[in-house]
Amino acid sequence: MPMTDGKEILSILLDFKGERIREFCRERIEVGMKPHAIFGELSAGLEVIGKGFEGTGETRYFTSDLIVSGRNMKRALAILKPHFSPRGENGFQTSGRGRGLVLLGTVKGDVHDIGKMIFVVTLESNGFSCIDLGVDVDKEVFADRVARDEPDILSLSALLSSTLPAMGEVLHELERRSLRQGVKVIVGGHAVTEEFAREIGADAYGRDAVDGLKKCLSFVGAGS
Amino acid sequence: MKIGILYAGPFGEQMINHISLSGFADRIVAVYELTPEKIPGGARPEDLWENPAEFMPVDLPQASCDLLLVLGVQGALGVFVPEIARRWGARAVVFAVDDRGMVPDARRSIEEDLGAAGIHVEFPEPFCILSGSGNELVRAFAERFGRPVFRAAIDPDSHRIARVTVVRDTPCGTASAAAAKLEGLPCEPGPILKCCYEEHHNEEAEHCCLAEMDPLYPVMQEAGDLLKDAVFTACGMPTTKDLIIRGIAAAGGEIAVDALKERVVSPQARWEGPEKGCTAGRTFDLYLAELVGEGKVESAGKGKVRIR
Repeated sequence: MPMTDGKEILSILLDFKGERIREFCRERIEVGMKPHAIFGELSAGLEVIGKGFEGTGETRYFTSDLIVSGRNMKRALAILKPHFSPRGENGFQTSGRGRGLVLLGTVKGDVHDIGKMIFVVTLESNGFSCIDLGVDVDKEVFADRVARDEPDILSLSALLSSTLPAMGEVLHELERRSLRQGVKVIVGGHAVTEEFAREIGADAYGRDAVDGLKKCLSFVGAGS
Repeated sequence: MKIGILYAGPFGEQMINHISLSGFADRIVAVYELTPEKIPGGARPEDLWENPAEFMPVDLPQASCDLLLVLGVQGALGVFVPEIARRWGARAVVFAVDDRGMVPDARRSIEEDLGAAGIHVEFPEPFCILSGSGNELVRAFAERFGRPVFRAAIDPDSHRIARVTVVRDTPCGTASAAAAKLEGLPCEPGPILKCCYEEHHNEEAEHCCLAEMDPLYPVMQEAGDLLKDAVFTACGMPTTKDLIIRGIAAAGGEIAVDALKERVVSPQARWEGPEKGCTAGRTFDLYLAELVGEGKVESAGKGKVRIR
């Protein structure tokens, strides 16, 4: 099994050209390492960068580090995703609605989606079925898809604080179209706080992917 | 002109990569990654203030350059810059600030130290705001890299953008990346704004802007505004400066700066609406100051401006 220390993982995540992350993933897949384990290694590195960006880590990281590591994580996910088992780690089938259907998207005005992508992988790995609407999604699109797909959970994400109001607008739109009662709403992303989630009337706040998963499991009655 | 570079992280790598590939590779004589791990003895950045020379990284190469670029280096490590500039014989320093973490803690003392050694220094914020300079070395660099400038040829029959020439590229390369995509587009705000947005803001784009985007420090948004207005200027479309003038005229020739700002600056990260020219208040401040400098607008007192 190839060995890579935390420093090396950080250096791979921060590689501007993104060549090393591809090599890193392919090498590990070839020797039979589970994609979840590879994803876990990279996620741990991403968390270090995230903490450094917020000023709570040992090393200071900039927006540029966040962008490049996010971009590299997407490259990694593109390689790893086909290798994830169609059956969730806990044995739940992910085809159809699986443990529950989750509709996800980054709100209008915000184009960041690495956190959301990690959340999708975490949910799918645990038996949920996901529909990712992408980034910069209009409130009308969220409402249309809630009406059409009837998801169990709607997950809204935002990195920029300037786009936070768009989250509240999605909830208003659901209320206006009498769709709110039929779906649980979870919000998350760098700009979101638990207090803000309460303010806009969301059902839950996901601090990170694992916390979000716990909340989603509780929504579908699976506990944590 | 020989260029020495102190850099850190992907921000520095992106700039070095683009500047090198844009015909400056043979001018770059030294590149050194300056990170906290390079400080000997495990000293913390705050320990450096008193005598940075004592904590100078031991693997700093010997070099001789005219212009020293500081790209993506943590602000706390800025105290090393005067000593390194002296050792490398630099006559000018450009210290790029594209993130609050890059703002040097000891900016004034850096300026004083460099000034005492006869070394000129500038702190462009963001790097792609660099244009003219009183210093010949910075000016020579800024002829090629800094605030974007384009020339565009519009096909009079199809009203499409036939050709775009990059007169001055951004150091990250967004300007030349956008120029390549602009050719063939209709000369209309919608498609042009979409192109600028995708090349500048989209993190998937190779040359996307890596500057800080926090609404409290919207340097990325300002850089995007500069790019968008450079394209609009080249295409003969109304720029943010034109909208500022229009806004003053629409208010009867005099208006409170705050009201004008609200009218022209979009609260969204995107450019939208015919009256919204830019997405960052700091871009508005820059343009208004330039219009005053150009003698087109003047202060009317009590926080108001009028057309001159």
